[in-house]
Amino acid sequence: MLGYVLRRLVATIPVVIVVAVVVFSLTRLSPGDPAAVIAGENATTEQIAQIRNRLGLDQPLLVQFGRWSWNIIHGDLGVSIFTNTPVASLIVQRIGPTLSLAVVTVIFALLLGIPAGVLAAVFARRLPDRMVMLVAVAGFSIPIFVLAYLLILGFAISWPLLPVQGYAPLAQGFLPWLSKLILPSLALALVYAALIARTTRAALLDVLAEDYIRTAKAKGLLPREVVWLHALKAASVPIVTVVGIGIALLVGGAVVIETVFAIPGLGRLTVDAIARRDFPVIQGVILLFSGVYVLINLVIDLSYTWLDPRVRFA
Amino acid sequence: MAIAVPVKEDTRPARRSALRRHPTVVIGLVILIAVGLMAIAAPWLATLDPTALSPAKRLRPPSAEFWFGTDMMGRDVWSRTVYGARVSVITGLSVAALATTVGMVLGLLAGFDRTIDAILMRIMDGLMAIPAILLAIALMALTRASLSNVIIAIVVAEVPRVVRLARGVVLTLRDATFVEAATASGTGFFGLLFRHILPNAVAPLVVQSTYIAASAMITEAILSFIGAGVPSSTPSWGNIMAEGRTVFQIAPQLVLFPGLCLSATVLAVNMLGDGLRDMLDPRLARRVK
Repeated sequence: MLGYVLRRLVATIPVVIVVAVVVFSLTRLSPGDPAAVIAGENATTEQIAQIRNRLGLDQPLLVQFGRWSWNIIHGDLGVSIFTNTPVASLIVQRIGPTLSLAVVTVIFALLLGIPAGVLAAVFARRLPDRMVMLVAVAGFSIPIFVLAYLLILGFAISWPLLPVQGYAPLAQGFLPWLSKLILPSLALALVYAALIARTTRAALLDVLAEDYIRTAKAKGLLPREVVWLHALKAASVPIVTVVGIGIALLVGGAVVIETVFAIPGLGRLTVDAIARRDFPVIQGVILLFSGVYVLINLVIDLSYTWLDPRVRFA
Repeated sequence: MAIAVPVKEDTRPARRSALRRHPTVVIGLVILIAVGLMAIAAPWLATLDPTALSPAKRLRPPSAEFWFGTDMMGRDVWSRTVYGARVSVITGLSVAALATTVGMVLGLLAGFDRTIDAILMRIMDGLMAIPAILLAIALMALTRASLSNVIIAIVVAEVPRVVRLARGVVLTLRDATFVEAATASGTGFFGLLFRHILPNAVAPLVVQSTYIAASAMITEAILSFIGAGVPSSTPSWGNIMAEGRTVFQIAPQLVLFPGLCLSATVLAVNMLGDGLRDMLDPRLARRVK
């Protein structure tokens, strides 16, 4: 087991290095002078020179990468060109709403996706299965911002149950916080739930055909005990894997959903940074999101040792 | 005693049986052909110039004159939506073709050479760790807003998935008995590649390319929606929705009509993909997506 954990940890190193190189290269590989691109079309020569000097663009490329990586390791993500604030502080200020959105979305996605997948597998090739799979295809096909507007139209304008947009921190109370997160999280959760439902169905169908399931049924266990206690545990590895893969969907979706619902999180910070060509901020957010993605998938891979004894004793 | 019973000839039209056997492929294709025709015939379908400003007629509701209403600048939303189909269709087709071609070449190289495999796959793993939309956003922020730059940005973000699939297929096929037999009988590298590996890799890659087209259409719309896609002078479903965002509560049709067109198109591409997957190889259902 220790060997597996070490192998998995070592395998993460090249991924982190490639992410760092790609993010570093973003400004350096741009056509023309990156300082001029960052400064914008109306910048003076002095302003461009100032940016070049501040970003260390006059140094050799390897020195720039070394210095940049050293700073990143020490938590220095650079300084925003527009607000002159450290990127790390901007991220800390905006992380709360995005974290809240992500947590509620994952809860919704699991609560919708797993039971839907179980239902589809238990009633395979019958009406409930077809209904679930139809909703799943729709979940993949309706872009999240279209779904978001449909939800706003239905549950905030036509039937004013929930707020149209905005965000309330948890400090203002649980209900105001949750009420403003329900619609954005639902919009974001549908595609994620569709992915989880499809995988749960496929994994469970494989497991339900196994001999030990027949044995469990022969022992006289109730069908729900067979499915929820025996089959689902055995089918959990692909389900947990897809939950990790879905984090990338969630991150991309957060950028859009925070724009639609005017949530002041990291997605909104990214969109504002694009409009201002604030590259240190864009780089910082991408690094953070990619780091979170790598970390979550590492944790998920390590969880296989607990979920699947074959990994533990390999 | 056996009695010969005349076999009743199947007189049903061929198209009906095709619909019954592969309904998702047929329905998906019909919707996509309609969207394709809409894109090609945009100049004739549009009732007004999609860029003509008419501030006096701003935010008109849907009517006989303006089928989808007008936007904040008095432009006809129906005409803009019809022209917007062009951006989605071009993006979907170009990204699918380019990402599949580049991904297939890289995947074949990785599948055949261990050194290239080790280097290339680490790079692909790294690229896949960056959420595709964020990578595309970052690339767009570096360049000028144009359709070709949007296509390149999405291709870069999509290629790693194709490489991984193509490499997987090559690795499986390389160890297959028929490939071993071909190698033993003296077939050269190119013979092996073009006669045995490529024909068998086409099916999964075609299916994957449909999913890439669907994903590319959504990514383009997202990029345009957040202001990092095609320039606002070119109508695209994403930027029509972006322009309608601020007035959604009083004129929801500005967001809903282009949004529903986009959803129907992506649904059709996904249906086509699912149908093709089942048609070409049912086992693919687990390998792709």
